[in-house]
Amino acid sequence: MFRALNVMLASMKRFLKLDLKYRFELGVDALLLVANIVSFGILGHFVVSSNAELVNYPYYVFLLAGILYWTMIASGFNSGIIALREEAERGTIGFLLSNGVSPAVITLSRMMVSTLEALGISAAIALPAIYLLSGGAYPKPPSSPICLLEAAVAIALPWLFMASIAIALTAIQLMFKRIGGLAGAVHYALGVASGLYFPVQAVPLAGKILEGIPTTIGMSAMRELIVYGRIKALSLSSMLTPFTPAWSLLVTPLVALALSAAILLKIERLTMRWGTIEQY
Amino acid sequence: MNSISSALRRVSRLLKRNQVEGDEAVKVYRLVKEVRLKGGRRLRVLDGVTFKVLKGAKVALVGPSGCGKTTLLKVLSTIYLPDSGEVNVFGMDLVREVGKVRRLISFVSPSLDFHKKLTLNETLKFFAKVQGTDPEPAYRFLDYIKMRGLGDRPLEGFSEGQKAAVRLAIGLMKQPKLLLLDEPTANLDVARKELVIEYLRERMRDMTVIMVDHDPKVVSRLCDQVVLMGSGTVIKSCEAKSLLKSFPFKYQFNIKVYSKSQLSKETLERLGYPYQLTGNVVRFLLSSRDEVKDLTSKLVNKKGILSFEVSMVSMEDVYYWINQQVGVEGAAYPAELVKTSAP
Repeated sequence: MFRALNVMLASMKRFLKLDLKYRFELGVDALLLVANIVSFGILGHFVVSSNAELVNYPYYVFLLAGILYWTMIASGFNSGIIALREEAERGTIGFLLSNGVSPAVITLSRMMVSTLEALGISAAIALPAIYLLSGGAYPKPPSSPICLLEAAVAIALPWLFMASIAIALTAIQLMFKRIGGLAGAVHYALGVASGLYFPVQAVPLAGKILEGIPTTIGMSAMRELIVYGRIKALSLSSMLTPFTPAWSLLVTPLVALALSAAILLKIERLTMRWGTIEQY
Repeated sequence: MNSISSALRRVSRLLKRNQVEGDEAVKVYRLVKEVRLKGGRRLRVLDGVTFKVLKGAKVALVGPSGCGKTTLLKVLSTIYLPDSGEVNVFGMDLVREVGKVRRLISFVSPSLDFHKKLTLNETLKFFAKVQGTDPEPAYRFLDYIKMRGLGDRPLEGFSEGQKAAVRLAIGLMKQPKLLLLDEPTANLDVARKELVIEYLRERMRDMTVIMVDHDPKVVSRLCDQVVLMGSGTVIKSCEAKSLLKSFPFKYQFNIKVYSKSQLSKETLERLGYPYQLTGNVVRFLLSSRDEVKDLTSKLVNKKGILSFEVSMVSMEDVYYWINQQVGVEGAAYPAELVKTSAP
């Protein structure tokens, strides 16, 4: 376990160094985020001007806070899965395996680096954008240091949930080698289900189920922090009360992580048996 | 009295056997490995492979392309799981004690490539972390082969030969007890190839090495044991020297011609000796002085011959010959070896 963490840190360092050497790509990523913010800002203003009351605060704040959160949580998802294939084509997988390190380390370390970069870029772009568009009304300053801790939990646990899905997709990729747009489709579907574009409460029937997804809970917590300066639903006591959204935020990522790790181990072994693990 | 002496004999036999087993670095017994193909079909790449390697031995896996050498290395390096059979590495079961085995082995594969924007130092540091070791042994090797000064250079400027050296440096980093090498000297220039051979022979005496290399010069200079493979099985496992002793030919008779067209295939076959054609050099393999005399008399009036020389066969000739004998289509050597029946 310690070895795997050590390798993950080394791998993160390597990805970070590489990203800094491809500055044009970093610039393009930042520009894409700006384009997202502009388009969602315009969409939000359109909804506000059409007097549709989906939330009790400006809709562009809803959208931009969602974009900020989703960028932090999910931007590393696709790159983590792509990185595994790239490394496999470089022959790194065999080397990792013969040294007792799972290929999932590549996916996770790539995800972490992309998340750190996204944190920096999105905080530098999205938060000032919300501030400027709302004329300084948002984001509200956090009401207490506990809020920041709760925000960290609202980011970390859903990230872990996304990581567990990435591990499961890594396993599928180890088996089938090329998975087409599956990672992108999962990424998009989770974004919609998490309430990136509209409040999930507005969805008939499925709304209640969607509210239990860790990324939905995290996204709504981030919006609360930006709009009210506090997070209502994420106290420690609520996390320990079974079947509440906060409890789901804690339990679902852990269960998903255990399940995906078990799937990965099984498929790793199976493909080692088939002699196809590093054949891409 | 009789029972005491027989008991003593049994104990002595047991001690002897334990000593032999204690000296074994690798023991492969009836290893079978099948690879899954498209549509669920299975291809048996290794079929009942059996051989032993003693500690500190330098072993060459010899055989034509596609006979299962690399797959065998991948099983030994724990990348592939065996389908059946037994593999022991330093007395440990490869499947049940995989964690312990992995700490003792290192596999250098030609398919390992690097991020080109990273420098040599950055790359070595990463691979040191993966192996949980210090990069210093890699630097010692690079120093030896005169590549230490390249530490700050990105790998995008490295030649294929330099990358091969980096791969080997990474493999040596862990100071493994068992080093598995797949074509370690491919693309290396002649001078560096010599240095690599020298380093492995002189500095890595205690290390057990199992290697695949298509260069007979490297194999003959580095390896003391040969595992001869063909179609997924071991045809013969023996000391390299004994292979030379049992080789049916004693002399090589090389003739250089002006151009390939000077001696047609039919003319060469009519001479009645096995030969090998590389560029404008024809190499005959002969088993006695009489055959040398006979061939000399047959060639003496032939036109277009620039020069000829006779020498004793070397291990290189043996490896060329072996590959032809157990060969399949697409054998790895550029030379065109044509078989004819000996007179």
